[in-house]
Amino acid sequence: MTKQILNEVIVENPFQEVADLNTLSSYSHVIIPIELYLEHSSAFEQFQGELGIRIGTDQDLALLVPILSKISLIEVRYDSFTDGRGHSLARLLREAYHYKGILRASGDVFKDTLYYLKRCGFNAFLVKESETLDHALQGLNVFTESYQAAVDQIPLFRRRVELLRI
Amino acid sequence: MYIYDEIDQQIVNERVAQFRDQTLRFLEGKLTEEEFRPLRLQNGLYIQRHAPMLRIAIPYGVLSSKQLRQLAYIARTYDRGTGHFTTRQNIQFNWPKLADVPNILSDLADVQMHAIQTSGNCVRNTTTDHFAGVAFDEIIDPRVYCELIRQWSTFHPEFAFLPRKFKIAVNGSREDRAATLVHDIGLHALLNDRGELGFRVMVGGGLGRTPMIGVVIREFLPEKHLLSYLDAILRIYNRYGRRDNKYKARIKILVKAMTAEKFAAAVEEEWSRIKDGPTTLIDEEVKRIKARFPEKPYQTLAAELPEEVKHFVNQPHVKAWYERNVFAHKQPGYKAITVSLKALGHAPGDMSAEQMEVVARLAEEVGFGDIRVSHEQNLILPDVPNTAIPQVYEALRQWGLVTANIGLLSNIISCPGGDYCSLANARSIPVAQAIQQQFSDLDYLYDIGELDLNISGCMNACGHHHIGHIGILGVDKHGEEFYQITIGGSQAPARLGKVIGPSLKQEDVPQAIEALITVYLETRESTEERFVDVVERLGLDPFKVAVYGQKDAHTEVNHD
Ligand code: SF4
Repeated sequence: MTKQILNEVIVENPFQEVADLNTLSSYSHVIIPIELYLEHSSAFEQFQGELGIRIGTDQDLALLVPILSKISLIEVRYDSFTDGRGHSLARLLREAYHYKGILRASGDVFKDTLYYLKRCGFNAFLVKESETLDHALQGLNVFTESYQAAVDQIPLFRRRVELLRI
Repeated sequence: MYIYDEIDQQIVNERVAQFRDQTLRFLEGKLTEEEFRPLRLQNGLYIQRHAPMLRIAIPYGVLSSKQLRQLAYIARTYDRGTGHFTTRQNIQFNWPKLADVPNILSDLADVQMHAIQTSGNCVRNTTTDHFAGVAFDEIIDPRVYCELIRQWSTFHPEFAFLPRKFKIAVNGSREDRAATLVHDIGLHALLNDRGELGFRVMVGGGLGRTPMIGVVIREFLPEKHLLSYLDAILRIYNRYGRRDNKYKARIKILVKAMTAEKFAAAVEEEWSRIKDGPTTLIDEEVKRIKARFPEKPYQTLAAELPEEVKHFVNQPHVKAWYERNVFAHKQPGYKAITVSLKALGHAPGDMSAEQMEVVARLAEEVGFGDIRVSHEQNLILPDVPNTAIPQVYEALRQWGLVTANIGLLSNIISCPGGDYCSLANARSIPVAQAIQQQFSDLDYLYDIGELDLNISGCMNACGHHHIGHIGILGVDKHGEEFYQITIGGSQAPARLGKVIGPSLKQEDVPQAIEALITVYLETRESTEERFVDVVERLGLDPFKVAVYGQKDAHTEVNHD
């Protein structure tokens, strides 16, 4: 099984790709692209295990939002770490649609990209081939404080007085 | 300047450590060029024609004497002794070594400076009026709001990787001296009929390849909603701005494609979800930021110049300088003095380490250690008491900083161009120098009067050529450097210049400018009527004829 970063620790990644839909019931955790789900939604609705959906950074949320309650993992795949659309998607999923499951970034993910991703609501990461999970983990907390509000924090200006008192 | 507290300091210190790690990994081959490039750009580091270029943020153009002294130290230690002030109120060094950059950032952090987001596809340094805080017609001190925006945008996790760079300008006075209409977002402070503060919000202005004037999407945004509204605009842009073509990626293209009304509606809808959330400003924070700009203990002085100073400024060699480079101040008995970086034979905006130290010392001796950088690439001593004018003049004169050309043709605004910039089509500094050479006679310059001349080395328009009364743009024609001329642009009110005809060779540019000026001098109705007013009144034709002759100017007419 591969590994992933989940909630700031390195753990097994239980979600597996399915090659053949007929074998679906033999899995406990699967991850599939959203297109496949939309095409075979009835098969997946009957699936008893944990379901993960993979989307791109340009995913139309209108297709994803109706199925949020059925899934326990959303993986946003970054073809390039400079594609900031995924960051907005993550915040919208967390803040506007109150998605509580795992939100995972994959693709062009490495140490230097983790801090912003985490602040936007990602709590799981698969890193690129040239990167190790141990190394990437150090990127999660490169800054102790941040100015603006995001998924993890209210703005510094609402906390500053308190922080300086300590 | 805004004085950091421990948290602000810690954030820049952590940035230095982060960038040191990134640079080391790159030098050791552990980060690829493709990975390192966007990361270094977010720290203002370009790889240029000769060496890396490092752009350092001067937030909204406000510097302290201590910071300017540190810039002099950096120029001397890591560069060849000069810095280049840019049209975006920043400073660039053209000769640092990549391995030195983390040390430079650490030296900057020592004086509460950084290079964060001075490049890359993120929210850049917010710009404003260079007379902020001392201007006589101010509604609010824009520095406070610029600092709020600086903090909001610094490492904004959602908007670090936008489709393209993003520039915000804030104007706090009645007159728009911040060119808010040619920024991605322009904010113009106003008071409503109940005396409450708010902002008119404009989006989609910008120069570059497709110059456009911004459109108003909200007439009055109450102060407390400033940051959440910015979040909403940026989110729409981040999600829907084009990423497939870098020339179509600026917000202006999105606004145009969607139409201003639909764009505004999308922003309002997004905003309705986040409005009144935690990002809503609180009074305590506005007050806290205000208080971190040190009070200036102004003396009570007579508004009138003292007799001996009056005498001093009336001397023939000082008079022109006093008229052009000295500005009114909101405090009686004080002046704001422009330190000209446009001396004949020097690249516009360049300043030596020694000159920086002289200005830093003057700011401490006669002012309160406050210095400004103007988008016209000059420095400003904002608080000079009338009695100190002779002392300031003499000190600046010794160092070649009293060129009396502010607002005149030879106060050329120019990007670094092909001598330094790898994107350039053509060099801009030699053209600027050739024009300054041609128009070195001060009496003649005076007679010509107010004229903004801007030069950019390529379409990226860092020299803001579209809003120059005369604009010059470097273009590439089969590998040769050519220059396209526009006239009739203006900064306030924002108006874009029009191209007068085919581009010219470098050696023909000064004569062409001379020809334009001759038409102007011959046709103006009085000395009050400026060059740009004549262009507005007569149109392009007489100017075209003067530069290209009858035939070329009207190629569509007679071909026999
Ligand atoms: S306008 Fe072009 S040549 Fe000039 S600095 Fe900008 S990118 Fe370089």
